[in-house]
Amino acid sequence: MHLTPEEKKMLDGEYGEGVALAMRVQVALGEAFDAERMVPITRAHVALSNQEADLWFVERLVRGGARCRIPPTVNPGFSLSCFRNAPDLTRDDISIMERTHAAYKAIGATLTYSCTPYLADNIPLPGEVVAFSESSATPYVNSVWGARSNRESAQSALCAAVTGRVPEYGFLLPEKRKGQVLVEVEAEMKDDFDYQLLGYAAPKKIGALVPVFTGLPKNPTPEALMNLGAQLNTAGAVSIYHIVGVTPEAPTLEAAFGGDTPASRAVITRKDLDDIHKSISLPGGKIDFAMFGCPHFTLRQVRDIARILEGRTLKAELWVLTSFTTKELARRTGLLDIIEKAGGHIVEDTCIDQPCWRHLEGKVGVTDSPKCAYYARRRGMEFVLRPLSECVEAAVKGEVS
Amino acid sequence: MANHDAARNRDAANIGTVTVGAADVSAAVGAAAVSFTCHPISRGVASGEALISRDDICFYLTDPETGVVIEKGHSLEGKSVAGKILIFPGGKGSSVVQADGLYQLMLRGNAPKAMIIKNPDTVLVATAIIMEIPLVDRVDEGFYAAVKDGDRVRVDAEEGRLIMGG
Repeated sequence: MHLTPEEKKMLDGEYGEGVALAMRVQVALGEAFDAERMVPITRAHVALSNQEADLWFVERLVRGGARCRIPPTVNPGFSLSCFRNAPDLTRDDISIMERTHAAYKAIGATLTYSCTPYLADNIPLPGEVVAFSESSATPYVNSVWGARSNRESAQSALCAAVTGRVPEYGFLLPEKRKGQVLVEVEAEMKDDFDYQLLGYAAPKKIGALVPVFTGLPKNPTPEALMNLGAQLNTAGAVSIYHIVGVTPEAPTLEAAFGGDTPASRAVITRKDLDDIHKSISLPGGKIDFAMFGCPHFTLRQVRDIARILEGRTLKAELWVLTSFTTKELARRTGLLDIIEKAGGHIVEDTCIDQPCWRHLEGKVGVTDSPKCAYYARRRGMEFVLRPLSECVEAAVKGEVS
Repeated sequence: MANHDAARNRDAANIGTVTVGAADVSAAVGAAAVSFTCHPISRGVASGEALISRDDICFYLTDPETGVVIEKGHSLEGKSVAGKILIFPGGKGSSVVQADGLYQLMLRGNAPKAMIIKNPDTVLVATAIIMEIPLVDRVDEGFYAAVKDGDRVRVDAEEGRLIMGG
């Protein structure tokens, strides 16, 4: 692939071994996907994970003198201020989080610790070339904002932030963003939870093709679109979708397919949504806790919880994961107070897939997010999946029907 | 999985660099050697025994202490990827678990020596470069027709060649 003199300097180590390593990764990606050149990025989001491999790599870049040309926002690990003294955590857990914080600070990242940067701190314009990792983030910036990102991994997005460049291939090219499969949604979308089920059900029918949805309402909430993308990219590897009449690259069916004929067609009925719901959820019964915020909850979702909890007392633990800015807004608007008085918690900077939840191992939770259930299974939690309001009622009663 | 995580956490403090994929050039060169073309993605040279997977691989679902694939129903279930020339369609799983899985194998010297794939993805490519494991794709179809488990294969990801036998 063609490299500019500046890119050659990076690759040859003139900016240090850290930059050279980041460039080697970018060049290998370019070689693997037949990119002809690198293009500059203006934003990045790194799915920091606070796991050993992630820490090892960022520390190696820092030791090699790398600093981000494009300061990326970053995913959550766990909040040291909330969990430092929690019995769940070992000294090693605390140490990894402290070192992760130090390394990402040193490399020049913007320490947002949120998995929903596309709603607040890192919003691209249409056509902007960006490098976003994180399974809910890549589909959102591609599909809803019309920006251009490939399905970056945490490591490749960090390399892009360091070099300020990405190889030009895949979803950076208009040709590759066109719809490939028509998905006719016959099920009526009753609430944001139905978008979770739609996102989880679709990949089984369409594989990794670019879907174009028809039959969906014209005014979805941001949360519905967040849910749709998060689940499409968890159950499958779908990092861009179009909704006719809703998303910017799909004003019409013809535009969504870029003049091509759909390669295939799928239909999604209420039965499909009900079947996937049954297949990923435990049956109802007693629950030990409620977990929300995978992806991080918005203020509207926090408000929905507070409305139900006002003046009531929880029987089960209730955790709401969100960004530090949303938590602060919840504090100012009184929502935090309502939720805490009921016995619930709002936690900033924290992901479900972290060691701070060890006390929930072997327990049964309720959540509105299939992605939450999918990742938390690794940590020994099982879930009943329900729409948000039913989950909150379940946490008040300690059981779910 | 809980024990698996605990093992990881115990080792968290001892993170260091381990060299993998050391070249063993002499062993694969011989009179009957057959060479096939391939496309290098992560450079380097390695040789060892071939291990063929019909299924995509998530390295998180291997035992880091032995390299044995623990994923139920996987075509490699019960077999070890440690030190092998691993031939598989592609990777699967989130970037977090895939990178961490390969890293845990590498720390214990149980990573594959080289990887031969059909479908590259960003996670596998970035991880191979970072961990200095030779990775190639676009292999001459004749190689797939000829290779069997246990065959000695030399991956030359500098020159873009796979050499069998000899």
